[in-house]
Amino acid sequence: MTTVPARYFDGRQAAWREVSVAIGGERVSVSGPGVEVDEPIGAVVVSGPLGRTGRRLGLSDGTYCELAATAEVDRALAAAGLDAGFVARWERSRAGVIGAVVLLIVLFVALYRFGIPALADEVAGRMPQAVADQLSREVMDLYEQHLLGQTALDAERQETLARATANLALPRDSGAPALAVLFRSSERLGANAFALPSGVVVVTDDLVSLAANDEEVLAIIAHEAGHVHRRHGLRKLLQSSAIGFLVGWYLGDLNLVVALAPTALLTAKYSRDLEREADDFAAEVLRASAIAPGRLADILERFDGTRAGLSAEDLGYISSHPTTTERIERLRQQR
Amino acid sequence: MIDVPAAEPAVTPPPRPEPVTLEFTGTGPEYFRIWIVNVTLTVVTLGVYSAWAKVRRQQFFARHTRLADAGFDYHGPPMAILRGRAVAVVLFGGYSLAGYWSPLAALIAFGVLAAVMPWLLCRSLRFRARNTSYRGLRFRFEGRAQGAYGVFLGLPLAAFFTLMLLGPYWHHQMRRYQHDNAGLGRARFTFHAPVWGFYSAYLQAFVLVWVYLITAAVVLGIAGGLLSFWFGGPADPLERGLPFYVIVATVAVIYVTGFVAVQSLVSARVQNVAWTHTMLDGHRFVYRLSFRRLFAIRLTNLLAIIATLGLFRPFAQVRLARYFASTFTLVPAGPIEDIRAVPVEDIGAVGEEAADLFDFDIAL
Repeated sequence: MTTVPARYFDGRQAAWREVSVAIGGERVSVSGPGVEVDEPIGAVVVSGPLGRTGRRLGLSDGTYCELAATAEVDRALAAAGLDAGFVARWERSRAGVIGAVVLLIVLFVALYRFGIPALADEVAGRMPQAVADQLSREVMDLYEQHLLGQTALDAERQETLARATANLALPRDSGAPALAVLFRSSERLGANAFALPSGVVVVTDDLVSLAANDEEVLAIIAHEAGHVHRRHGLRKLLQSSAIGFLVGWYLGDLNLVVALAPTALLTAKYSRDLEREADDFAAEVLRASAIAPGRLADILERFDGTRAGLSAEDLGYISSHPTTTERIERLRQQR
Repeated sequence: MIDVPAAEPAVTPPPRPEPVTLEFTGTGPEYFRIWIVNVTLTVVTLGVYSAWAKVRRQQFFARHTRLADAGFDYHGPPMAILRGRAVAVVLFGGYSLAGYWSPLAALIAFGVLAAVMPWLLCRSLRFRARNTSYRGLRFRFEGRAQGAYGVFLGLPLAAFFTLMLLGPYWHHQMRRYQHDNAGLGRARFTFHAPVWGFYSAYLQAFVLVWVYLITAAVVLGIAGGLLSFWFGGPADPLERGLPFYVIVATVAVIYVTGFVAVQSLVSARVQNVAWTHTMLDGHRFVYRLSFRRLFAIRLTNLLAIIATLGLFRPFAQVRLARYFASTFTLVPAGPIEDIRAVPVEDIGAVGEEAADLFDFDIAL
């Protein structure tokens, strides 16, 4: 039986009363001016330790006592079976806290490298094609308005390339939409190509003229087909949303711009991974279509040569694409 | 009407007519332990633990905030918070998804959200007040839903259509709605801050923004000049090379520090005006936040959080709490101990439901 001093709050007035609380023998009793309470231990609720605030002993009638934050009180409560809960014990142990930091880092890394990509893959696979088509339409409208103009290629050339695309050995059962290759001119984009989730692949005139032969153009189309077949558009969107949410939650009500930087950095890696996946897909498709995978490396090399000075790719971690050198090397190794 | 029985000799400390300042007794290292376990468990449980984490956080800050030798407390039931959060996820998730579907769907979703938000905010205020206590007495919030719609929907729209000229007035009305409908036990809060106080605060912020923009333009001009000297030739802003990223970084730094500065200025001025003109029955309050101190604390917090990849955040929160407390003073008209609770059977009449299925506890 231990007796400790406490403050008694009856919930009806702001004034407190100095009382004595006796804990032991399966009972808790409170005695003081105008207060005489005796209750079984099971009827009281004791708050766990919290920083340096005193423990609160809640009685069954809604009143409560505030006990001093001393080791004596802790011992008395522990002896009576009113111990700190699992969470409070974890917080108090130094090893536990260090372990929590380590565990958190491990969890974040696991989420980043496996959890989020896997989840995005799953969800993207289950999204109805109608949603992807809708998104693609809106993006295409925007691009046609601001970036793309009428192609200068003659109808025969377009026809040849379209037929060659149809002959590409693309996987038949991936549930992906059929490719629709469109040719456009674009000053802003220069020699470039991009794909939309609906299956639309846009190739610029500058890229066609940069290519030494039709096979190189097909190699680019095969790479873009990889983006479509593996649902990269949706996956990228889902992954960056998830990362944005996670970073925003973790940093709390911090500045929005500050939260953007880590989000951009983290999603850049996802983007690079998807580009590598598209390159691998292209190599496979090209080989199956009796075209040397090296053609993709050829045009990438040519492409690299046209750009002078530092470019975004050379900045490693910030870049959305792996360095062109790395891509060429990987492709040449695949033969 | 039940009153406190006369036979009860309340042995209380002598009445304190002198002003009493809030004290925050929590420390960064202590809160770090709670925070790290909260975050880890929340991640492990994919967010479900967040409700319990919130309770623990609120209790830490409430109980370590002391006024006249007694602390506050927080009693929010975790399950109610969890249910509220689930509803919030559905609402906001639905709104985001609608955005991907079509502009029309997004508009409809926005309409639904706008129609429901004021009611949710009103409940949230009530929930928070009812679950916060001081010396065993619960706070209360008696604002009606109609008032919420005016303050959280009508006024923002009006402000928007007047190019934010009504903005400070809106803010004033929001604080009035929050303060004037609040109470502690039987005591009532009253709010009589002048609208001019809010306009003055925003006017000062406006001036600060202009000073900042001019400074930013000068700095960027110098930076651009230095960069073209360094890399040779005029820098084409669309070339995504190293100079581009340096400019982006400079702009970001300027924007962030400016944002923190303006936020601190408005915050300090508005809080001071709002609380210095609030009374609890006869008791007064004085709030003396300094813009410079607040800006310094917020900026150093930000830098430290970035440098530690977020781990400094709990320390940052404690620093702020300590500063806020140290500048907040109660000027009592009489003994605080005289405040009484609302009698039990009056609670139903005030509209406090005894058991809610879920309470919204949206962060305000």
